[in-house]
Amino acid sequence: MLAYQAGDEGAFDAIVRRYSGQVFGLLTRFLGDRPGREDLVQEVFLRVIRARKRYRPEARFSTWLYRIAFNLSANFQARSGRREALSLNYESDDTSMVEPADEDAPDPSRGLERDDVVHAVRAAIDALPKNQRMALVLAKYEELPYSEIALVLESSEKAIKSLVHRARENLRAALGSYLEEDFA
Amino acid sequence: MTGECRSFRRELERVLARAHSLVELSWSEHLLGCAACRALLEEEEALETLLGSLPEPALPADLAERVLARLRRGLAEGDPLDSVLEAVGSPEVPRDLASDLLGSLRLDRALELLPDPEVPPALAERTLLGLRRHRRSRRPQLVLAAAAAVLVLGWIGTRLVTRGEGPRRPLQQVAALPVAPEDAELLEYLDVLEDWELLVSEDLDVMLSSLDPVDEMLLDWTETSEGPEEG
Repeated sequence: MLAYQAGDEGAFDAIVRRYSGQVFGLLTRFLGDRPGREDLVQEVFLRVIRARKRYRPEARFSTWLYRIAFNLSANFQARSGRREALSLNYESDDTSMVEPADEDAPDPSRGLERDDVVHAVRAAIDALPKNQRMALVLAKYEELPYSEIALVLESSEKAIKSLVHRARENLRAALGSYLEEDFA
Repeated sequence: MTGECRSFRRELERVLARAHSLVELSWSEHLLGCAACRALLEEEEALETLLGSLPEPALPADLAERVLARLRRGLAEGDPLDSVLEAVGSPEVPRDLASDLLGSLRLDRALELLPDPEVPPALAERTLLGLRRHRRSRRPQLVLAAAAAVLVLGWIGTRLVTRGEGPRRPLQQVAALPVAPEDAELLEYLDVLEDWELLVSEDLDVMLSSLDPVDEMLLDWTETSEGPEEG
């Protein structure tokens, strides 16, 4: 990013190639498999272009990128009324993010069961407040330390710890029936 | 909840925060005697399993290249507003802005420490008095100028009366007076003095109060008449 800031236009291509997948993954974890995520990825990098002169390497570049992605996706969700769209998506046959549990599994009902679980987990994550959801996604799937999550969400490390704790409590409550079964 | 329970749960949170496996906690001695913590650990393990069951997001093919192509297209087309905003750029902050501001603040504080100047008592009254004296000091000159004008006019009037044209009433005498060029010039000077507010009405009142009745009548005439032809 510093090279791009210094005028190396080729460095920007390298940034997009390196981070676009990470941003797309984060958006998918946060928003679900709804359409428009690729547009958001483009928007994230457009913000990078616009903020090039203001960028200061005070934290890891990915942390700065995640903050942009979080702000954009939170606005995007607020604009588009995500819950209604998601409920429709669940009934649709869009399974772009759902991989078969085990392609060699002989029992197809086992795969359906697993899809149910995946949908239930997604719905439970989706029902979390946006800050809890992003804190959980960053901690669980991006494996960011609380100190970096605090930078992304512009909050304190202590507040992030509390957010993750409450997110897990909410998930345990929402997925209570699944917690007693063995899906391993 | 005992102290051991709290300690176990702190450890549980620490392991979760570091995304480590919870298996290491299952060997804790505390769990042997605490069903609540054992149940909590089992729930957390099950939740981890559920969260881990979500598949990795499937990335669209050639995502980076497509995003780059779209960005280039968008930048090439350009948004007029963006180009204007880019042209404006970021405001340049002077290098020593912070130290200058702090210096100014310190100076302000230092200036505030200075005591207010003491105003001498009755300054306003004494100032007004001084101004009045100044104005009075100019009056003799003005009075002399006016008196000279009156004397000249009076002398002309007296000469005309003594030419043997018979007794006439004062106004008639005055109306019949021709105004000599030098007298007209003197009157103009007086007008100028008055226009410039060097000769204020207050000064005139003072002068007039010192004139004898004949001279005063003569002056009245000069103020109300353009000349003998109109009288």
